[in-house]
Amino acid sequence: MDHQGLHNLHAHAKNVSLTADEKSAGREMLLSYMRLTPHRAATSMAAAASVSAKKKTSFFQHYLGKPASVMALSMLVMFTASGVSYAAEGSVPGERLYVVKIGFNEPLRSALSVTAEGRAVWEAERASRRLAEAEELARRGTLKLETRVALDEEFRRHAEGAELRLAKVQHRKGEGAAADVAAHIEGTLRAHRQIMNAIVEDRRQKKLAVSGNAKAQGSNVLSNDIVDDADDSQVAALIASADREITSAERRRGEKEKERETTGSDAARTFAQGRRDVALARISEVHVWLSDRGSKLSAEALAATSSGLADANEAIIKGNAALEAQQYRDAAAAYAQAQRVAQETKLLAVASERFKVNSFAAMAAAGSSDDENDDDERRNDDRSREANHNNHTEETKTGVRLKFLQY
Amino acid sequence: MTSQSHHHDEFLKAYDAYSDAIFRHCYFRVYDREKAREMMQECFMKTWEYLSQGKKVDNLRAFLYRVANNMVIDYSRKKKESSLDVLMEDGFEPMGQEAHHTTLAAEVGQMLTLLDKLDKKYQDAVRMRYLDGLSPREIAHVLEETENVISVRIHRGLAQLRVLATQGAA
Repeated sequence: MDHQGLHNLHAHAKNVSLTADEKSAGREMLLSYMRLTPHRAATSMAAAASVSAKKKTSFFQHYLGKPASVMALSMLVMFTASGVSYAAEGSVPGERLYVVKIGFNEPLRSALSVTAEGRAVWEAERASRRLAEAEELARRGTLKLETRVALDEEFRRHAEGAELRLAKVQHRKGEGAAADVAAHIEGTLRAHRQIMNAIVEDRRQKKLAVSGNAKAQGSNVLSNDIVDDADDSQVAALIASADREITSAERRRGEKEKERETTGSDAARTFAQGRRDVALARISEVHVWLSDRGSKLSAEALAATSSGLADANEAIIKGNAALEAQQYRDAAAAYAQAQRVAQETKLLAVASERFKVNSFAAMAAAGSSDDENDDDERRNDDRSREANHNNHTEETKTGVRLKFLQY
Repeated sequence: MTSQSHHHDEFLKAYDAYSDAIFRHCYFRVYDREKAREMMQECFMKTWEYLSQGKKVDNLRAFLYRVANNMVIDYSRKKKESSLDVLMEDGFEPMGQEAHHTTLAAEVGQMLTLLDKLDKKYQDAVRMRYLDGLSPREIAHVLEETENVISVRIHRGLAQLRVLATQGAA
């Protein structure tokens, strides 16, 4: 071992470095992050240094640089910028913090996504967030045409962005990484379709209950609680959008599965094993979530989550059998299904907890995630559901209720 | 100049001074440029989070290396490590596009392969000494050991490298 060679290693290693653009982008991102998490010592230092002991320097005056009375109160009640950022995550169009969510949180997260897979997943996540916002508004009965059109446009923009980035993942990182991201995206879209169907069904049940009560009381006048048909048509339009993306995702998946080798090569086996590892990791995530949050679910939702996990495990068993038989294409397809089902199960469980709408009843009515679902069949399915109007979205980290403004 | 701005400026100076070095520290362990960039960025953000809570750091450079080192260890545990040998057989060039001379790239690649094979307890010390260019005292700060322990590890690591090099040449 040449000692001089070792000593020169450091000099040679310096040839590996960040480009000027990379460094500059990183710097900007870091600065944005620092602004979100201000230095606590700075506020107390400022207070200590203040000549006048009477007027204590407030954190907001230092951080925001303007009189506290000017900035929206909904932001100033938060103690830290990270609290604002956190609270904004649950906001929807029409709420004050939505500006923070769209203008601050999301660009920051975009900047944090450095890898190709990270960018593709984040783009899909942004599409998912638009759907989630529409779902929340629909659940509240406040999803209007203009808002739906705007959210739909944003959803499609991010879905297309995710598709483009998926192609880059395929190019840079290979098929395994791309398949992982694609299954994540498809599972997410399917879950949202189920959630929206569940919300529509829940509203239909509510409408039936309300009109039933009105008839019983001999009244022809509908109460103020009547569900707005206009909202249902907006959700239906979003379901159609999600369906289009799911169809695209299914077509891409089908094409990729056909291209793959059926048997034989080491590469096909390695690919299938990679799919298995990812699927097992996703199933494990659902178990972890369940152990943490399972007590908040209704008995029905809990049973349906367990059933979803059982379906995912069944797909794993099917995949293992195919792997053993060296049918690598079938094995990979089975493992990918397990991953999608796990992803969908988790999102539905989260939605069940959040909305207190039984998303799973719609999923159960629809059958497994790979069935060809007929919307009419689902609507005709006679199931009773709990309608709980507990509004989880109004809870923020500090428990402050936000004033909603109409957009 | 407000206090927040002062803290921001000071930390950004540290970013300007050390981001390349931290990136390299991560890169020569994970051999994935994008991953290394991500880890470097996260390293600075975690360090800022720590500092923003009002906690004191005596040696910021050592602290950054420590955070980066821990991230690399966590990453290696989660991901099945591919040895540099295997990566290079698949055509990976550790010096990437920056290596203009084939001979240089081959020499460096060979040295990095040998470093990869060192006992873990010596690897960190030798890497930080010869790849990152840190002094034994600085390495001691990073790894929270005494300078003497680090010097011994470097010495024994070099001895092991010589044996590995001889075996490789044989």
